[in-house]
Amino acid sequence: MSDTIDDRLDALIRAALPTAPDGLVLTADLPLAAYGLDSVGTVGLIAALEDAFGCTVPDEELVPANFRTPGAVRALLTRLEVTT
Amino acid sequence: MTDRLLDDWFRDGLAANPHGPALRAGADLLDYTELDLRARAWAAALTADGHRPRRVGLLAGKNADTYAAFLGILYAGAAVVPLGADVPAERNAAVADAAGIDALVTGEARAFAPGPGVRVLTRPDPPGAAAFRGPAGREPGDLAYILFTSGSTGRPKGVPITHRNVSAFLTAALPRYDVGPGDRCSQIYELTFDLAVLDLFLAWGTGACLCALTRLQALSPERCVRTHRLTFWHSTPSLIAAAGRSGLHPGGLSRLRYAVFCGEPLPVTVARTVRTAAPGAVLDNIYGPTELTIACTAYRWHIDDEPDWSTPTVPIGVPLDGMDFVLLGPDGRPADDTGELCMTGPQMFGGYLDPANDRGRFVELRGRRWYRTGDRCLLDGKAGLVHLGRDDSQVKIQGYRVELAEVEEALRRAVPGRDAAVCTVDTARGTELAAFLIGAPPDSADVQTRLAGLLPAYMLPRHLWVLPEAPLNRNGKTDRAALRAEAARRAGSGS
Repeated sequence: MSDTIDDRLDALIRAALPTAPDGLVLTADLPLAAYGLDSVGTVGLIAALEDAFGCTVPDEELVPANFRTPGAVRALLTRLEVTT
Repeated sequence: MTDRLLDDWFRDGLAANPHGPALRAGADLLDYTELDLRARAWAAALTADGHRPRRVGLLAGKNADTYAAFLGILYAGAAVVPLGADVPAERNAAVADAAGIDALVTGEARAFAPGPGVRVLTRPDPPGAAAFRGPAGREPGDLAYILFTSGSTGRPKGVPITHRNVSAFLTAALPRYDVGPGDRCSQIYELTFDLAVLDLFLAWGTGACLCALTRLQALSPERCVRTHRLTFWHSTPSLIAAAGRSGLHPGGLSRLRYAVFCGEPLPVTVARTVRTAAPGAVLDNIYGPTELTIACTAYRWHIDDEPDWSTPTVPIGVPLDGMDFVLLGPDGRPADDTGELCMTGPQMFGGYLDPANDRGRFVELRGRRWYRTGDRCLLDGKAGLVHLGRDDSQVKIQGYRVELAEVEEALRRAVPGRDAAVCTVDTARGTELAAFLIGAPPDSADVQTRLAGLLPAYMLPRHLWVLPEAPLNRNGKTDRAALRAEAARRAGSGS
């Protein structure tokens, strides 16, 4: 797993972080909660992911662990067979 | 009925509905007999080789094994110490250490390393389930669980609750709800929050089915109610308010028979949204700190009644059976209509795990010992108790109890040598935490990342600003009102 994530996913996650400072690098293990991603924000991020990648996140994948870090989000998309 | 063990209540459901559904968690659906057997398998593992655990940490997500282990720990005669699956390892370790756990049940790969002498169990003992016999000598005065709340000294405070405390609550609370086999109850709260205990034993005490939901799932209530066929909803007002902002349709929750709210004040506007979405549901607003076991007052808002109170929040109503209250005036004497709510009765805990935390939290009146809630209340002739607010620095963020001092302490640890001040700010999203670092901007940019390694997500400030110097009041202390005004100004200007 590389240190950073793909541009499109990077932009979607960054848009969901209300307190990310300019120039923050979204490493795979960055704790997203630290930059303001709460559960309400996560629901918004899920909708954005579904729109952008044409996928549906199933009920059983709606667990906080899948949205803890950029790496976890990418792993979720890989499981959903989404190409980012 | 108060001289019972918490697991006795599960046995009521088991007797009433042995082959009916007891638990739905993820893809798993367990009936009462299966859940009992799985709990016994955990109890067998916990008591193998003559072990008699006293206090058992439980660190796992919302899956079937977690709920079975919760029961299994009780069967083994030990107190449950729930730990947060989404909480930094360091904080879980501090809680486990303070609670004095002697065993840890965990399904989490991210588990912390417990102290020496703590047995770690990752799987139950199914072959041992049939032969398991509960230990002799269990009493209602034994501890059922220990939960931790935010502490004003910067460290979480342990609240030990006995089987008698929680049985007193269930004895008073369960008759409020006509729930039984065929009902399906939501389980949204994390197990580190005592309101989860209401979910578990409301369902299991009556033979209903407990439906485990993550907060992410619960934020789409219409979908949850439909796919899980829920009839009983219990959440914080914030959660339903957030869901309401993104769309809650008239009649969208019409399957619900009950909608129960707790954890923070219930705004009248939110209650109205719920009544429109769930016109057939009985609406209950319940109130209580962890120290008084789950909830100790309740207000039922009947659908046809117009509000006849003047505050923007729904009243907290009248004490549950067995609980007594007094309002304490500023002179330390009972007041007639407005004061600090103090309560006593069989649901009152015996004192904090660390007796140093007891100081100032109890008051002796009329020959009895009362717990001081810190909540200012008004006694209304018709509505009962109405919550007015708090005088101290405890706040509620999305229903979570947060001491500002604990967040400030974590900030000082994240940026050594620097002072910090934390306050709340009200935005369209609700009440949020705002933090000020005092002095020049910090050297490193990863303050927020370090903070996330110290605090659970709900305690992380939504705003982090640098302030050259703290505003001081005439006594030379941080001027909290000035800080709140500064936070409101900055939050309002979108910075």
